[in-house]
Amino acid sequence: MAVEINSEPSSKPSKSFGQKLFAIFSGFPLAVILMLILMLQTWLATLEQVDYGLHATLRKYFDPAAWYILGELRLPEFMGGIALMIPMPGGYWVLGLFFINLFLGGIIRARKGWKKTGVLISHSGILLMILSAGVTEMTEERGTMDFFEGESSNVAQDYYEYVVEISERTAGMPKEVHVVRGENLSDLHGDLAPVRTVRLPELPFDMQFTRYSKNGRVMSVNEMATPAGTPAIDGYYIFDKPSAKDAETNIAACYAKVLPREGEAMPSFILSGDAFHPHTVKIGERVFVFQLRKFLWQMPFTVRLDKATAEYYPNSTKPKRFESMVTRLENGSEAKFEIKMNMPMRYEGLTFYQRMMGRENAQVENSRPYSQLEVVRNPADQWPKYALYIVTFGLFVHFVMKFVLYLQKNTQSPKL
Amino acid sequence: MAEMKSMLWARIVAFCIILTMLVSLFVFMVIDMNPKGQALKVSGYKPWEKETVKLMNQLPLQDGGRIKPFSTHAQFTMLRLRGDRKIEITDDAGKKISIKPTEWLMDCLFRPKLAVEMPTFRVDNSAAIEAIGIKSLGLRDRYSYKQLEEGIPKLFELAQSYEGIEVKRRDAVQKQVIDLAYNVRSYQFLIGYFGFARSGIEMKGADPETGASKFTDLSTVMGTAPMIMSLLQQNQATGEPIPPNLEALLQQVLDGANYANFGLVWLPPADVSNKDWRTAGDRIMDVMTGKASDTKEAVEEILLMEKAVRSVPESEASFRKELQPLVTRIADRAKQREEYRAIPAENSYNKQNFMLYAMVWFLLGLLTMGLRWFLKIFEVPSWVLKTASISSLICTGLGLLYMIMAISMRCYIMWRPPVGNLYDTIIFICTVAVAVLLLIEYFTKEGIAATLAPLMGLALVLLARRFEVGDAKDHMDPLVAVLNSNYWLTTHVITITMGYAAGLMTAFLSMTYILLSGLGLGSNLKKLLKMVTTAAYGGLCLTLFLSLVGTVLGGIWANDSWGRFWGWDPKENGALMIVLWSLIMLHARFGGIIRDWGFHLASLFMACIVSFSWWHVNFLGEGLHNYGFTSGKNFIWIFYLAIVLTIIFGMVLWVVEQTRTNPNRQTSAKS
Repeated sequence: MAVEINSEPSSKPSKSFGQKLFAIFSGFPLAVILMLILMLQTWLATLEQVDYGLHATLRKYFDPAAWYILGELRLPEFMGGIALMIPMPGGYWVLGLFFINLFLGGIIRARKGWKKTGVLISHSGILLMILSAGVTEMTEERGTMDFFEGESSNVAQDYYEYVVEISERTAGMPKEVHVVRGENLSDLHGDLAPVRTVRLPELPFDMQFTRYSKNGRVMSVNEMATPAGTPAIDGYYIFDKPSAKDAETNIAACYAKVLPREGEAMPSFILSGDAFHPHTVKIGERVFVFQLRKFLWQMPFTVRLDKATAEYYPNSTKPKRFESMVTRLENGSEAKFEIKMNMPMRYEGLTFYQRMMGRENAQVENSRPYSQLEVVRNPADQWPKYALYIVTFGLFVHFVMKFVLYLQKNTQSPKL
Repeated sequence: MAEMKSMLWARIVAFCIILTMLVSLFVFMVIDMNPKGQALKVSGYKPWEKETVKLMNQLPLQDGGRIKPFSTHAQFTMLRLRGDRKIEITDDAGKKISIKPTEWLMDCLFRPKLAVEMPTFRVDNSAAIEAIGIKSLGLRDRYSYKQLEEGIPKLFELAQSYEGIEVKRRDAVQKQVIDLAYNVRSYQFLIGYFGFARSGIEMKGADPETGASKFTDLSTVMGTAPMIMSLLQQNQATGEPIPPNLEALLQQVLDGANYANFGLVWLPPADVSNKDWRTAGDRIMDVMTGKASDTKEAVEEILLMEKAVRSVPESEASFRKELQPLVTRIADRAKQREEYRAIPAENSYNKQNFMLYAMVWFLLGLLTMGLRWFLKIFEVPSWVLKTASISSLICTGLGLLYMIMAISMRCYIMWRPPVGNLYDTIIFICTVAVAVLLLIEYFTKEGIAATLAPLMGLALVLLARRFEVGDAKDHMDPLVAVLNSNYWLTTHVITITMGYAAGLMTAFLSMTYILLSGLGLGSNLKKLLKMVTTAAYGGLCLTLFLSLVGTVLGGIWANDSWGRFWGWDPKENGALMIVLWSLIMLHARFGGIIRDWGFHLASLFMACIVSFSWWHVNFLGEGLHNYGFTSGKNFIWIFYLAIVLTIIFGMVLWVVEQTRTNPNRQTSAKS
C-alpha cells in the first residue's frame, strides 16, 4: 500500500492555496490520521456494543447526521470502571474523507509506474469497497419472511421500522391499506413532544400523532403511577423505555387521534406494536381500523415453503443442517430452490437467507415446522467480492515484486 | 549505536525482560506438567493393567454430537472436573501412583469405592468449600468425593439458590458453588452408572410379612418385561393397586435406569438410520416400556454389562474376559454403521501426546539457542556456535514436525480443515509462526529468527495446553451448521489465522529489535538490527495481506450466510483493526512520519491489537464468534502490561539514542 510521493524541490515556486489544499487532502498525514480515527472508532464501537447493543452503537458512530461523537471507553473494574468520553468526528464523515484522501492520494497523486501497479490496483479495490459500504448504507432494505411448511408469502417484515396501518373494513375485510411510516413519527418524543398531523385526503379524516416511543410499554395507571406530563387514556399510558440492546425486539407505541373532517372531534387512543387487536373507529356508517405493526414490504413474486429441514447432531442441540425447500411462484411459472446455510437464493435483486428454524410447538415432536428467511435488497450485494479480487490481486503483485527485489538485492550481497 | 554499549541500565532492563519471559515460561511449564493438589492415600488401589486400558479405549461412544473413543471422553471429563490430565495418589505402601484419564474413568465406573477417595474435584475458591460446611485445604485445591460428601446436600441447596441470580451478577463464590454442584452431580451419575449391575434387583415376596426376598439380575427382570406390563395393565383395568413387591421392583428398575442414563452414551442402535446412540438406562427403559424393537439384543447388552461389572472383584483377567465381548459388540456395530473410522486414529492421537513432545522439543531448541548466544560472548570457535545453531534448528524443526503431525491427525479425525475453534487457532498460529520464522532464518542466517521460533513455539504450545485445561471442552466436536463449510474454513478461517500468526511474529521481531538495542550486543549489532527491521517489514506486509484478504473473505462468507457483508461482530472488528494498524504503519513509514524506532514501537503494539482480536473479544460475550469462555481473563491484562512496558522501555531507549547521537536535535523530531 506504500506510495512514494515526489518531494518538492525547495527551488520551486510556493504553492497556490488550491495546491496546498490538494496536498493536504491527498497526503500521507491525513491518511494516517483518518485511519487512526477509524481504528479507534472500531475499537470503541466494539466495546460499547456490549453495553448498548449493536444497532444503537452503530447509529451513534456512523450516523450521517452526527458530525462529531463522544466515544465511550469504560475502564476495567480494577481501574475503577469509570467511563472516559473521547470526542471525535462522526464515523460516516471520516469514512467519506478517507475515500477522498485515498482517491486523491492513492490514485491521482500517487507515482505511476510498473513498480506501483499493485498499489494502484489495491487502492482502486479499497475505493470500490468503501463505495459499496456507502451504497449499502443508503439503499439496503432488510426484513424477514416467516412461514410454516406449505404456506406461501410475498411480503417481508422489516427488522426495525414500525408503521401505522389504516384501513376501512367492509364485510369484515380490509379494503385499502394506508400507511404512515414510523420514520416520519420517530422525532415525536420527549416531555414536550410535538404533535404531527398527517393528511389523508382519500379518507374522511386526518390523523394526529404524538409521543412516539420506539420502545414503549403500555402500562396501567394501577400498575405504576403515570410519570409527570404523560397523558393517560382510559387508565393506560405509554411508558417510554430505552431502546433494547437487540433493537429488532423494540416495540413501538404512540398516542393517536382521528380528526374527522365532518362531525365531532374524537378522543385520543393508544397504538402499540404488541396490541392484541387493532383499534376500531366508526365514522358515520364506515368502520376504520388502526394498527401499529412492523413495516411489510411487498415482493415481486411469491415464495412457498415446501419443506423445512432442521437437523441436529445426534444426542445434542447443536444444529447440523438448516434447509428450506422453496418454490418461487411468478406469473404462473414455478421454480424450485434449496436455501440453506451459506447458500442463499438470489433473484431479481433480492437475496433470501436461511435465518431460523423451529416448530409450532417445541415440546411436540411432530408439530408443524416453520422456517424464517432473511430477505435483503442491496444493489451492492456482490461489490465487496469484486473489490476483494481487485485488492488481493493488487497486494499480491506489489508484495511479490517487493520480495523479488529484496531477493535480488540479497543475492548481490550474500548477507543482509 | 556504539554509544548504546555503554548503557548499563539498558542492558540490565533488557536482560530482566528476557529473564522474566523465560522464567514465566518455565513456571508455566512446571505448573502444566505437574499434577495438582495433594496426593491422597487410596487404600487397596491397584493400577489397571495396560491390556485392560487398551481394550477400554477401543470402546466408541457418542458425545458432543460425534463418535469418539473412551479415552477422549475420559480426558475431557477429567479436565472438566479436576482441571488436570492426571491424578496422583499414594497406595498403602506410600508409593505414588499417577492415574491417567482412562484409568480414572474406569475407576469411577467399575471401582467407585476407590474412585471416591481420589482428589477429583477442582475448587479454585476455598470460600465455596467453607460455605458448604467443609474444612478447606487451601485457597485452590482438589477434593475427593469422600471429602465433600457431608456438604453435598448443602452444596445442591446453595447452587439452586444461586442459579436464580443473573449470570453476570454472580460473584466468584457463587460461580464456584454452581460449577462444583454440576461437577458433583455428573460424578454421581458416573459412579452410579453401573449401580444396577453391582446391586442387582431385590425381589420381595408377595406377602411383605412372611415372603422372603431374593436377588436377581436386571437383565432377567427385563426378560420378563412383557409379563410385568401385562400385570400392570390388569391392575389398571381392575382398578386394583399395584402389589407392593411389584412396585418395589419397578422402583429399583427405574432408579437403575435413571443413574445409567447419563455419562456414557455408548450403545449404537441396530437401525442405521437412527443417529442417536443409547445409554444403558435408555435400553432398560426401552424394554420395560415396550418401546424396544430389539428386546433380545437390549437384554443381551445389559447382561454383558452385568457380567463385566461383577467380574471386577474377582480378578482383572476375568474382568477383561467379560469386558471383551461387550467392547467387541459395540465396536462391531459402530463399524457396521461406518462410525468407527476415526476411533483408532483418535486413540493414537491421544496416546502420542504430540503437544507435549512439541513443547519439549521447542524447549530444547530454545535452550540450545540460548547456549549459542551465551557462548558467543566468550568468542568460542565458530564450529561450536554452528553446532549449537544446527542442534537448535533440529530441535525446533522436530517440534514443528510434531505440530504438523498433530494438526494433520486432527484434520483426519475431524474430517474438516484445521481451524474451526479457538483451540485450533492456537496450534495453527504456533505452527505457522514457527515455520515462517524458520524460513526467515533460512534467508537471514543470523540466529535471531531461529531463537524466536522455539520461543514462540513453546509459549503458544503452553497457551494451548493451558487453554485446554481452562476450557475443558473437546475441541474436535463438530461445528454448528453455519460454520460447517469446508470451503470457507479453508479460505477465510485459515487466512485470518495466518494473519494473526504473522502479526504476532512481526511484533516479536520488533520486540527483539528493542531488546537487542538494549543489550547492545557487540559490533554486529547494526547489521542485526537492519536484518530485524527488514524481517519485521516483511512480516508486516504478510500480516496486512493475510488479514485484509481474510477479513474480506469473512465478509463474503457472512454475506452468503446472513446477508450482510459487515456485521460489526467483535471478531470482525478486531481483524479490521489489524488491517488498519498495518496500513497506518506502512503509510506512516512511507510518508516519513516514522522511521525504524517508530516502526518497531508501533509493530510491538500490533501484539496488543492481535491479542485483542484473537483472544480478548471472546471475553466480551457478544457476537457470532463468541466462544463463551472466561478463563485466562487476567492473563490478557498481564500480557498487555508486559507489551506496554516493553514499548515504554523502547521509547526511553529511542530518546536516549536520539539525544546521544545528535544532542542538538530536538527529541520531538520525527522518530
